[in-house]
Amino acid sequence: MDALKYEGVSKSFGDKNAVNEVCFSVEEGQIFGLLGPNGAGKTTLIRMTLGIYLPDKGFIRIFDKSLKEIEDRDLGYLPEERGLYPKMKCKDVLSFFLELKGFSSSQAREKALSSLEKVALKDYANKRIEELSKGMQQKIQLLVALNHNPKIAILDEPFSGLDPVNVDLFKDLIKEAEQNGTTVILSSHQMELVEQLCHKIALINKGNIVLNGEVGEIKKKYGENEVRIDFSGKVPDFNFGDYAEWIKKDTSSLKLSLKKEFKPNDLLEKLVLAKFEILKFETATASLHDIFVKVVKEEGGENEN
Amino acid sequence: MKIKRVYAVIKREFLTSVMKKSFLIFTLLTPILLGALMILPSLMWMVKTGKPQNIIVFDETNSIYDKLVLKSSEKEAKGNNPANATNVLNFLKAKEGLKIEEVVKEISNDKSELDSILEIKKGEKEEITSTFYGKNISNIKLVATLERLINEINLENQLKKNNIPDEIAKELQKKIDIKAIKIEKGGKTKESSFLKEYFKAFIASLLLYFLIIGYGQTVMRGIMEEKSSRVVEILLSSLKPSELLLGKVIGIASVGLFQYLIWTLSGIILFLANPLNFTATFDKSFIKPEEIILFLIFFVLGFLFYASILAAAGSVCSTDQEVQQVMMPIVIILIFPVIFLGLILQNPNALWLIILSMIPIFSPTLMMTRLAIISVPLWQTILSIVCLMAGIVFVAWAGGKIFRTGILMTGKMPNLFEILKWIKE
Repeated sequence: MDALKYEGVSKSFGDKNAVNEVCFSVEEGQIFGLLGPNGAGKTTLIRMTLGIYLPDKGFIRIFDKSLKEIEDRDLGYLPEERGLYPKMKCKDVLSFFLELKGFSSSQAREKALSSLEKVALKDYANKRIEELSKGMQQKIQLLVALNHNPKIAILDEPFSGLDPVNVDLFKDLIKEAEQNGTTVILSSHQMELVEQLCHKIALINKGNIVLNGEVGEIKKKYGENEVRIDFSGKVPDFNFGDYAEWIKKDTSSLKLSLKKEFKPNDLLEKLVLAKFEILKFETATASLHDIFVKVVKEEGGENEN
Repeated sequence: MKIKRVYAVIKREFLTSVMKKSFLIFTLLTPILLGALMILPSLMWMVKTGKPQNIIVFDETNSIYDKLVLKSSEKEAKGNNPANATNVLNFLKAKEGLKIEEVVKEISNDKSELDSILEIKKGEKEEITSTFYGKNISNIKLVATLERLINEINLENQLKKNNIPDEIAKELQKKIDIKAIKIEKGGKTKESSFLKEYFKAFIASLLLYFLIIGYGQTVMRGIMEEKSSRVVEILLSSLKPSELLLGKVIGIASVGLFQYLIWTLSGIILFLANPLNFTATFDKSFIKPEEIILFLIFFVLGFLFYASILAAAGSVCSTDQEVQQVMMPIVIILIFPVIFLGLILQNPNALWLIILSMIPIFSPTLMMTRLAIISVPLWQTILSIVCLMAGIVFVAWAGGKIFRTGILMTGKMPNLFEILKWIKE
């Protein structure tokens, strides 16, 4: 079953179309990447999903139910602009949000403490939010979103401003949520993380969905076959141009993009037959990053805002 | 509407407010401040603030100066200094032949040790006239004291001169006080005084004003903070705006009631223990139980009314300055009965006051003030409460609509026209 389904959803503010006829769906139990440049309409889409805004047109279905039919929204949310009560103690903040989700106060307290332990903040349980570092606050924010094992968790830029250790911790927590059956909507600008975590993505630009599908397929479809070759001497004379869309040449190495009809092996075979001494032969499929940049540029550059 | 979620909000609001240091300070400080407001004026009345006044007396009658000195020192010795003057009075007799103009000239010189001149003259028909010259004649108490002393002496002199027997003289010099008895419902009577009534009305309206403004502002600021810190987005992903609003208002109202309970209980304990001899000043019927209950009703209803308005207002504000702006007119409306207390005391049953005390924006503090002074007819009290309740229903409905939209707005504060549009939607 689809956890989330957008059917022709539109929303405008004044004369600005923030989201335009958006259609896509998110399967249950997946980590789904919602990508897009700044101001593309991601946050508006997320806020509509949460019921904070109402769509002008179209429907959003959560487990096949409209927003109005759902009495208890079993959602977790990490907003892009962080928000916690600065004067409250960590454990109290966590308990409060758990209680809002229907936990009894004793259950909430227990869960709050055990989750703090999980992110190595047990010693900070009685500290106020404002006394914590940015990274620590972000951990609390993620716990607020995931603690109650929601059916759907929407994480808007969870990784921004984190150090590499904490990025790994966040990745683990998100994967753990996935294993517990939570469908995760992940909005992020860190493409390599999206690649590592997400099964499917949707790329939104200027309020429109411009890419949607499995990460692998998208890479196959949009990616270029990039090859990098290091030689033990100078780059030999060889008609690389027959195989490549473009070539970048250095003294002893070269980078090229293979034409669609060739595979890296075809080129390697030719080079070996020609008895060139090769130190390194590296293939790289285009990263999501490159695809993102390419598609957004093709679509007419960055959005204002 | 899920009661559980509303309860979670109520609990959070209550606990975070009560655990704050400011709650403790406010709870302790308010009774002290109110006490001070009551005691300070009379203390100031008693304390001699000024330096001693050196008064030179030109006494044409030759029968007043000696008694003036005598009387003023007598009263000083008794502890009630020359009839409440703020200054110690030193009288000097003007030397024979000294002219007032000369002394006036001397006093105008800053180095002079003399402060003022008291001239006592006898007219053609033996009537006494008196003039006071001084650099500062705005010291009303000083002039009033002198006036009273001279009048007392003159009366004594006249009585003696006309050979009035001592007993009659004494009787004539006695001051007669009027005892004030308040007629209450059912023909009951109660001894009271202007000062007591004034004090009660003052405390009642001021306390209600502080409570409503103080806690209303807490609601407003809390919402503004949740909005600007973006907590509200997470909150609204878990509950409906109406649940959030209800939880906040009830949560903070219960903080106010809790505080009120502390004050009432400590008041009762203080009254029973009676360490400062309160019972001498305030007999048991000074505050009646029904007054405490009515105060409670008007606090809760008044708070709900204003909190709904302020919550809606808070939801459109995003800075402290904007909060102050919105707060200003509300503060003025609420303080109205305190400012016009004198006017209300004169005629608490004036038609315009009766009408105003039915209008919800005025009724909490105004009705409370009237209730403290007179026996308000029951129908008026009930009508006022009913009107207030209807007002609450209306502002909660309209406020809820504004809140729902305003809480997610960022940037510029919307104008009144836009807000009215939200209500209509």
